[in-house]
Amino acid sequence: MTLVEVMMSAAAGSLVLGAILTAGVALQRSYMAVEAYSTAGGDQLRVLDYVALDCRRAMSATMAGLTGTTPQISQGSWVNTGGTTTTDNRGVVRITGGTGQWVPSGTGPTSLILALPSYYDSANSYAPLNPTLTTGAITYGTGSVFVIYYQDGNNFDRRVVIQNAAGTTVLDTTTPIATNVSTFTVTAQDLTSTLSCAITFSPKFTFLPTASAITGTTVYCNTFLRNAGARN
Amino acid sequence: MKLNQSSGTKGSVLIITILTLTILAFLCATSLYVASQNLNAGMQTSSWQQSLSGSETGIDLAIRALNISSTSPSTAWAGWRTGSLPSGTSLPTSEPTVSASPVPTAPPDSTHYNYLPSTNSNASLTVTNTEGATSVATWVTIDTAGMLPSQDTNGKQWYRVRATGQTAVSGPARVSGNRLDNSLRNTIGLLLNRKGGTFLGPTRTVEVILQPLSSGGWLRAITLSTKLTISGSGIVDSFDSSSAMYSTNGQYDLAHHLTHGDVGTASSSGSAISGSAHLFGSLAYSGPAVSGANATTVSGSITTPFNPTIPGTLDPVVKSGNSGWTWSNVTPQVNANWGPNMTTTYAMSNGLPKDSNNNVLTSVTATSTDPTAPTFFIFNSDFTVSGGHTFTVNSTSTDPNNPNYIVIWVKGKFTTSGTGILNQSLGSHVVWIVDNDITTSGDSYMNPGGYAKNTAFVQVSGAANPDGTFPQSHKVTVSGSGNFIAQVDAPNSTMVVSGGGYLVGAAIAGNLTVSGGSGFHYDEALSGAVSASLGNYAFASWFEDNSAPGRGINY
Repeated sequence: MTLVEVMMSAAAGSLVLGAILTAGVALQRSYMAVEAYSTAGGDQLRVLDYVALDCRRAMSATMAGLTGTTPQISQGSWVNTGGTTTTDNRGVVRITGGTGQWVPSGTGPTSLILALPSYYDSANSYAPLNPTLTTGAITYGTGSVFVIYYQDGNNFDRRVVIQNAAGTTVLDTTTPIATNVSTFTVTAQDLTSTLSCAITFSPKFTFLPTASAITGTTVYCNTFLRNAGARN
Repeated sequence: MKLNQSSGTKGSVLIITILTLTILAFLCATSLYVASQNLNAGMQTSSWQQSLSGSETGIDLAIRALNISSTSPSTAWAGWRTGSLPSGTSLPTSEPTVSASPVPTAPPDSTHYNYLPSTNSNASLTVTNTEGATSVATWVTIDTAGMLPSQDTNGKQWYRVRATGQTAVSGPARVSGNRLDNSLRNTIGLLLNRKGGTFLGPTRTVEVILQPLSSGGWLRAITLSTKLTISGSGIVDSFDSSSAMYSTNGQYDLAHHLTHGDVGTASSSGSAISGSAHLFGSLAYSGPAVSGANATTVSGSITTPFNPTIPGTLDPVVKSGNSGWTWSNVTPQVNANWGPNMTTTYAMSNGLPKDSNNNVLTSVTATSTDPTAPTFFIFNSDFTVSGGHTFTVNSTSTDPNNPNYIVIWVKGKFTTSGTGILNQSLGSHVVWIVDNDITTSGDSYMNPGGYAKNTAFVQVSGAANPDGTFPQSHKVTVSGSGNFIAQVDAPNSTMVVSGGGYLVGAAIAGNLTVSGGSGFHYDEALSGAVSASLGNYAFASWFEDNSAPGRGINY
């Protein structure tokens, strides 16, 4: 084999290997983009399902530190003091004990605040409770349950605060239910019958970030507040 | 230069081939993984939604069974079973085994529950040769949940309905790769079933509390087909003229008032409660929320939907051969039958009736003791008691509990104006059938010491059209500061109550405006005059149970 032959074969081999490498990288990039697209679609469906689930079963209630009744949209955050906090490997934050209240803040995230019936018995493995009919109104257990949706950085969090009748936090769980969220908008004008909100997700992969590129995917959730008490 | 060709390089083809095949295998595996995740996520979501549809269909099946139970019990409970509550008032958390349990013939009592097994449910569906869910099954339970009829305004039983929809997915039991999905749709696969039992697949349970709504118009203070507007400082409450505990000499007394001043509107668009007005009763509505209605302004429950059947009001009709007259009305219940010579028609002069000698009458007299054959007069056009005039409805009886019955058909407007006074004797039972507007007040329609059960105004609307509308629309205006004691059945009217006085009795109207400190005192004695049949059920509470106690997931 002459040197020329070696050089030519090396060049040809490099060309083939380069092509394979480029194609492989492109394919991997494409697969990652497809998976990210799939994950984003899953996130969007999950967020819609969660918000719709909680809106349908929401009721009206008062929350410590919050003016007016729920459902409500407010800027601020729920602050729990005196409890024990743990965080698991999924980023779920759990607080037990202590007391909490809503702290309004003009710089805080816009939050959707919903109240749910105290349907489960926290002292009995969260078994469903029987309803109680009093002066035309249905209640389940004592205490309160609030669900708060808000954007935290790129995450979209769902915070569930369970308090007993004395106001002590039984369990305060914050779960990021979606990632890559760029905006969260709740329409307040329909709070008396339906709740409308929009959540925009940032694309994880963009090919050419030009001015005309798609900046995100927005999903809309319009849910009828089924419990009459939540609409009044 | 010449290089020696080594025999050891001959295996490079094999290595390159294996390397290439490995790369291709990785590419294929990645493709399959991505496709599998997309498929699982899509399948999860669709199955999750199908399960909710299944459970909500179960709720509808239960409502249908309750609605027609009294009239067609065998149809209502076809396929249902009944059983004893497992412990206390707790419902089973997994589907009971279908056995030879007795078939119910009525809604459950306090110690039993009725259930519709998934195998007997029309909502259950099995599909073969499909890529998606292979079946959707629904099972439903109904029980009283410890709630008592005595806790209801009308003494009716509330029910808890719990329906579970289950979807079986095809293919391997495999969850999505995203753990967040597993927390939400936590019964999708593997060996999880948070509701117990052996069923695998997405399972969604909805629990609703159903409040019975009575169909009789006098079973609540106000029944409206459209808008309700209450402003000012008035209240809506109740009393019972037949009870010494809840009235004073049969009259309303704030110290003895009750909180059953229920209000229902079948189409609540534009409705509002404002000012310091307060409903001492429950509010039921269909349509958008009633503005201002909340726990502060409404003492009782606020429920939806409210879909009453409001009957039209009709004129009396001549029997064939001019052999007499008949008239029937649902609310107040009157079924009158007059013979050919039992009616007298009067022409009118300046709003008052005049006899055949053109003498203006200032009174009529009720003489009949038979409610099905009352004294019957026809005023042939507008009836007006103007300022300075007095018109009296006399009776031979002086006992309001054993009155003389009279029906007066006004073929025009009914008006008491200015200082005009219409006196109704204590021992008379008067039904005014009015073909046009009604304008009166508690200061001019005088029936002191009387009961609403003895004074009824029926404004003719015509028979209801198939879409629920009525062909005739008129006004009802009640003003003044005095209490107006009457039942008002004006199903397509624009009704206004103002001036500070109260309507003591009950009302059916198209839309209602209450202002100026006026209000309603519903007389609960009227509820005994009609059949307290059930009209439908409204959701008092709706809750989806998404917990997985075994996994520490609740709410």
